[in-house]
Amino acid sequence: MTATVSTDLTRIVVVDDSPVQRRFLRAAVEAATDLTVVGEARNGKEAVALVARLRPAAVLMDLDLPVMSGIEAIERIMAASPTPILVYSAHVGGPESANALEALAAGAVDVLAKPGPEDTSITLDEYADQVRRRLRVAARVRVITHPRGKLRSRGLHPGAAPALVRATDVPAQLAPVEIPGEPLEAREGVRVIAIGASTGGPQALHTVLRALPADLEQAVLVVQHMADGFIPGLASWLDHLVAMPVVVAESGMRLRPGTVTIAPSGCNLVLADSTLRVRCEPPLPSQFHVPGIDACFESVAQVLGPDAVGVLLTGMGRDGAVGLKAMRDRGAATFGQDEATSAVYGMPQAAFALDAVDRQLAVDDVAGTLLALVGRR
Amino acid sequence: MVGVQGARSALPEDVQRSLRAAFASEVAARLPQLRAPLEDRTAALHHAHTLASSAWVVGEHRISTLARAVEEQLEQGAPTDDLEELVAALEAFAP
Repeated sequence: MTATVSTDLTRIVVVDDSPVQRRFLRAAVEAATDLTVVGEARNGKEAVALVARLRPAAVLMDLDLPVMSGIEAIERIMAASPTPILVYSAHVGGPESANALEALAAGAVDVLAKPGPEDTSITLDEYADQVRRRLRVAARVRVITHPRGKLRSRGLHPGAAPALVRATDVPAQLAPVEIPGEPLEAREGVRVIAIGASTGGPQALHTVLRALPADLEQAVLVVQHMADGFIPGLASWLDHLVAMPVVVAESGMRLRPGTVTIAPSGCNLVLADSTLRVRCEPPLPSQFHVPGIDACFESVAQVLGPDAVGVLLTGMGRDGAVGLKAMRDRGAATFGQDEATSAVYGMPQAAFALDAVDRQLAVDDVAGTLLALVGRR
Repeated sequence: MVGVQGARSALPEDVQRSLRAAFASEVAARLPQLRAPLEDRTAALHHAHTLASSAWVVGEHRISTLARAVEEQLEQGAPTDDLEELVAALEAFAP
């Protein structure tokens, strides 16, 4: 475990048992003038101690660690000294993909794919650039003490990953809740609930979707910014946690009521027609986030008009704001996550500034509001 | 000497040198358990997994590919067909 002191720069702790990775990541981070590595840990246990001592702005952490696993280290850090953690994980699409999602459930704010032999399209320098950009975003995320780590530290956490409990075994939370603001008038004819999210999104999605019932009459369409390869893992993770089935979209398929459909990596998923058929379209060359939320929301606005609801959750940047405005202009009900509960109040703020949202909501109130809107409460 | 043949980098020369030195140390530390993977399959899997990424970072694409193949073979409980070739390639770094 090593540590150096620096004050003015964004301070990063790197956690990896490989000296090669630690050396590379230090070089990658410190190639930027605004970032510095203040400490390196070789295992999860060292990471917990180092983060508590150094209080870095962000942690860059591998998951496959000796002594104490990355997941357990994240839980402990988030319980004792909450810090934004950017997980980088190899073998996306394989078993580690589920681990990466488990890391997000434990409190990590973002996941970056660690490159390996299957990556022929990215250079080391491009990867280093990705690491720096994602760390800058992660360092700006507000984090709070995470309940799972808290429970574990008090000996109350059951130990097994909650992802192993399928939510159909648990009644959806349909008890009446207080919806903030003016009473909502239920709308008839809503067919699709479109949700966009970015940084902090997986946890926010989990919060929203777990409170929606399996027999929801609307189709739920989700666009989550995520590193290539992790979307199937996200779908699989959510599928175990929420009452509705969760699937990854394929071009040409139709959205189904009571099903969550997630946009795949590598294309913009758009609603093609009123039969709820979706289509993958190539992204614009200038597009930063793929899949794009704007493209999806704009297509929903075009096809369904008032028969849809748009929700823009936490995330850096402004993707989704223009699309949500298009939905609102065509008569759809629209909501944005509020500042207090957003990991990054970027996209929802951009939407609010554009007058694209009917109402800003705490993430815990989103599901209840949606149910009230579609007449389920 | 094994040549650089994977990810190209504009990292400074001294960083690249230190990365290769770190890779040699890492190979030396992990090679014994890779030579006898059946003694501790979990440890061997972890070493293969780590070396697949480390080798990519230092530009050793062939080693990276072999390590990934061995990792997958260990994961699936399949015969480790690529292990001999991987060990031989790694021995060039840590004879």
